[in-house]
Amino acid sequence: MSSYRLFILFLLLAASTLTGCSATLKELSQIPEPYQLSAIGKADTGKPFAISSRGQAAVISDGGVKLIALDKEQEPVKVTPLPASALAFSPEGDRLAVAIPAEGARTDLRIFDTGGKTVAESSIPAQAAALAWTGGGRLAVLALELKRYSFGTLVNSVVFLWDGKNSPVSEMVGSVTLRPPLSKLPDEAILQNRNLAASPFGDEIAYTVLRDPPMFTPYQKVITRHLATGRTSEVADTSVNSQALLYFPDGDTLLIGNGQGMSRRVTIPDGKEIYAWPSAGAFPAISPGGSYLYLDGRLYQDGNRTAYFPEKTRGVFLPDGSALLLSWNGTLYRLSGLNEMKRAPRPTDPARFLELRRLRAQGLIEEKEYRDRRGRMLVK
Amino acid sequence: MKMTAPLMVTLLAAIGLALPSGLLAAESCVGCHAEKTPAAVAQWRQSAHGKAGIGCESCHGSDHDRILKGEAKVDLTRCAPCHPKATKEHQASRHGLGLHTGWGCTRNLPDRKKDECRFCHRQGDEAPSTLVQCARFLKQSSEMAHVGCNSCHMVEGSCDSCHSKHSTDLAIARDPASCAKCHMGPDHPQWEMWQTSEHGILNKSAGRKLGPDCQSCHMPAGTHNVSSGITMNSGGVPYPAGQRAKARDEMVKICSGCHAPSFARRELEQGDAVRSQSLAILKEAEETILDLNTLGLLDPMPDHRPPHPLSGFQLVTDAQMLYEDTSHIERLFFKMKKYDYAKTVKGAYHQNPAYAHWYGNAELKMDLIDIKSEARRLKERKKAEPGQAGIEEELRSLKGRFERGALSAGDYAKEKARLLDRGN
Repeated sequence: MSSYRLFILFLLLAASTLTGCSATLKELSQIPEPYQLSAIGKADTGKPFAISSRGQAAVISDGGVKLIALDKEQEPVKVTPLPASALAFSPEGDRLAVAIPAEGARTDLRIFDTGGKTVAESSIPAQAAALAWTGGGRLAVLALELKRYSFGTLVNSVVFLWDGKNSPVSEMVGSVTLRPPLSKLPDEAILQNRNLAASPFGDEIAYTVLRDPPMFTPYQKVITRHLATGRTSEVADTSVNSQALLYFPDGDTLLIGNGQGMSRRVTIPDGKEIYAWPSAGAFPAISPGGSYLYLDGRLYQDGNRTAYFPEKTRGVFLPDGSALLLSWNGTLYRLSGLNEMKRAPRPTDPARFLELRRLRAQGLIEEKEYRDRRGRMLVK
Repeated sequence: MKMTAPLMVTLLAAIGLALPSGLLAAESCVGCHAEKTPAAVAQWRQSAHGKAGIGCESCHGSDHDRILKGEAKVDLTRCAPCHPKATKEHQASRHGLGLHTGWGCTRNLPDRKKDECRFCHRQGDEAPSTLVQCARFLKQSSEMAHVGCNSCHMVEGSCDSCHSKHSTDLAIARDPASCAKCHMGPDHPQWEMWQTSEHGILNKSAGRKLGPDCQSCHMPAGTHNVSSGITMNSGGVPYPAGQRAKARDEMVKICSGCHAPSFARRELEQGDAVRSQSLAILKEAEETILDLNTLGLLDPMPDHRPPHPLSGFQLVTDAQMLYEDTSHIERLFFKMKKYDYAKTVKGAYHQNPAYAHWYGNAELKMDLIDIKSEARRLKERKKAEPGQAGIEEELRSLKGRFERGALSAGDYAKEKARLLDRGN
């Protein structure tokens, strides 16, 4: 009998170890009224997920990509059983782009429709792809190439632009030979130094490239690139391992996390800081109107922290700002009860507004001339 | 009678003592050269040098091997010790201001010949003897550089550019045809415009006293400073006011040898007015081209053609502009500036109506039409390409004008606002 009791005790111990802490997300969080938290599906821990404007979430579950209908009771749609490293819905929500690590330091790119059917696929000779949809239905991809040498590690940052029809067009945007001690890091640690975001107006991307100058601490440079003209601006510096780079809905400010306990909102193109949060910014999200900010488990509303979750909980806002989806410990949750008071600014004449931004990107008008007219061309 | 050897030596020694040493040395050359280079010997015998007993070795040296190798050419440094006044005047003039072509060593250019070094270097000198840069020279073949460029542009150090090599007959140097060798043709036809001017016609029909020639006005009283009285640089750009006024007084003084000073001054001032008007036309054309360059519309753009020898992949419209490896509109501007502007202005100062007007002014204005038309064509071609917004071109053009100083900061801001708010 005693051996039977020992066996039961061992089983209990093993079960508690495998499931981790048995506490729920709700128990580990501070979720005041009027927020409500509810589990809506499965999502692999620590993996990215995305939400479409058509009410779908793309998650990585059981190692593969699945589509979950957020407002309907239906079985998740299996998209691909392959492990994805990045997911991104197109602004219209009709396309899901997926990056899948492939052999030979390559990455396969696939685009699926809302039913999970492959509509385009390609492959790029680089790894650790970050994805962002830009205007005109083009997918921007930032990926890295690593070459190990005895004297250091060469890291090339390459931006690919893919229209889903022709082969992706590539341009090397950064190249650095890392010196020890950075070059001694394993591939995974170096490869996480890539950040990519697309402007809400679709005409610009922001990305980071590694720099490792002699006599100075290595860092990442935050660069914006106007896609139509190719003009770039070096906006700010951030530390190595920073994994936070997002556009605010105004399209003229960026959220940059330094990975070391500080996230900043800075203006484009001069990198002037207008706000800072004491948070590394590992898993940032901004609500569509900009009322809410989710940073490393903290939910801020208009600058005030209103809810708290375990630090490694990933979050993404719904495109209408009504809820925040959270991924924690293998489960996808919906935090509803958000009150998005603001609306993302929209241009009254999109073509003319994009022209104004193009002129600024080329340095043909001053920043003040841009901002004066920008204010008149946007409605909130 | 048979002469003994000692008697022969004594006789030669006596002759040697009686003759100037140079002549003695010359005679040692003349024996052979009367046969090998008879013209040189004949000219020398008749020259002031020959008559004064200045022999061959005075200018050529006595190292026959060097002479045979072509290393004993006579240049200004040989003449200067005996002709200091002429040298000083020459060096103060535009003829003496480093007109050697070619600073910017040619040794790295393909197919260049070693003897080109002497264009810029004296024997044994590493430093070039001139600081003049010439992109057009650097684009030439070795042969064309020699025949086409340096026949004229070595005047800085070569007295024989105007004087003949062995004859010292001043009639040669005083003949306007001596000037014509270089001062003719499409880029600066001073000889032609003088010939068909009132001065030239009188010179031909009534002689030098009534009709002045080049030397009368540009080398008064035999000075070797051919630039006194000139109020602009060789590119036709007026000197600063102070320098201009001083030069003008010099020229009025020269003219006053025949004319009332007030008349001379008025005539020259009319030339000044023509020059200003022509410069304005030229500037308008240049602005058009700079604008096209700003807009990226030159065809080909400077970064899509062989590099300029001095400026690389840059647009060059100044004195170093090229007539090859350039765009069509720049080639039109080259003709306008180097030929037609020069004809207009120099035609006006040389009192030649046909050159000032038909060959100059009319061509200048027609050039501007051609250049503007070509600019329109290039802009329209660009507009036909998809995705080319007109406002971008206009803003880029404004920016270029502002950066070149052609537009004030206030006007730039005003013009930008007008474009940006158009249609609001």
